[in-house]
Amino acid sequence: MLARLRANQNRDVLTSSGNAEIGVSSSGSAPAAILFGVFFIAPLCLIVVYSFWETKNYELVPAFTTKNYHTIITTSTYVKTFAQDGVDGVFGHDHHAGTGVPVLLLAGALCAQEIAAGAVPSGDPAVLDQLSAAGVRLGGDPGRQRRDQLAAQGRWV
Amino acid sequence: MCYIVLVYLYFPFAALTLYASLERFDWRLLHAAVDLGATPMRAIATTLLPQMRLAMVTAGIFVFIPILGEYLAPAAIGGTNGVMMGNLVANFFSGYLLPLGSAASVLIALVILIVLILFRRSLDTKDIYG
Repeated sequence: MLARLRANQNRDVLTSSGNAEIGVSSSGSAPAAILFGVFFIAPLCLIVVYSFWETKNYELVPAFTTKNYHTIITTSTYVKTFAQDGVDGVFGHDHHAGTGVPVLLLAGALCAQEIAAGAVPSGDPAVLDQLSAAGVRLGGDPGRQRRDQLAAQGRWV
Repeated sequence: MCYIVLVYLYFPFAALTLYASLERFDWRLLHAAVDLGATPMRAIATTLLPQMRLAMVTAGIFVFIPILGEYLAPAAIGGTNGVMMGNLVANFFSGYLLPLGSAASVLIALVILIVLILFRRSLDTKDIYG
């Protein structure tokens, strides 16, 4: 049984020239692609398209308008609801620590780590401003590098 | 109140992800760091946390994305202050304001997309698994 399965697998790999490298036959991935397309891509496209349409007397009217986005961004109730998810999540409701505090700390730690690893150019003035505001000093700090350089030459007293 | 319920609901997602990473962690590294003179906090920060980074980011994303679209918990116990974005979209759709609901959904999707883009470097497993 196992041998037959392996033989089938090999045949699939050999017959599907395009996907031979990853060992997935084109016929094998078709159901997944159909499911993905019908239940994820199509509704997603539908929602994007609907978001640019408009309603008149509770009927959908095909059009291209950004009024819906404008309404959501400018109406204070919606903005508050959107912001509340973020702000309460971070700072908590009624001054109690929110669930977002650990996430923020985590994000800060990751950013500092990435900057220290050279992911962000340490010479960028904006980054240095932010870091000095946060009280963080890095090995990549130009001032510190220059001081080390001068110290190595014996010119730093 | 709503947030306590959300923490209760989504705690397993974060805990399981972190547990999988903690299980693989070589605890001798922590002892070695302390033996070499590191304070307990420094030992954790230099040995445990860097290896847990991927798990922490994954846990954060696993929890953050479903909570952003959370509907049931705020609807059940949120009250007037506990309306979240999911409820807003549901209200739009039930009021037959499909375009407004769609626009709100697209905005939520954009926020999620931005978070994923921001953390894409941290989720890059090439530097861990080669």
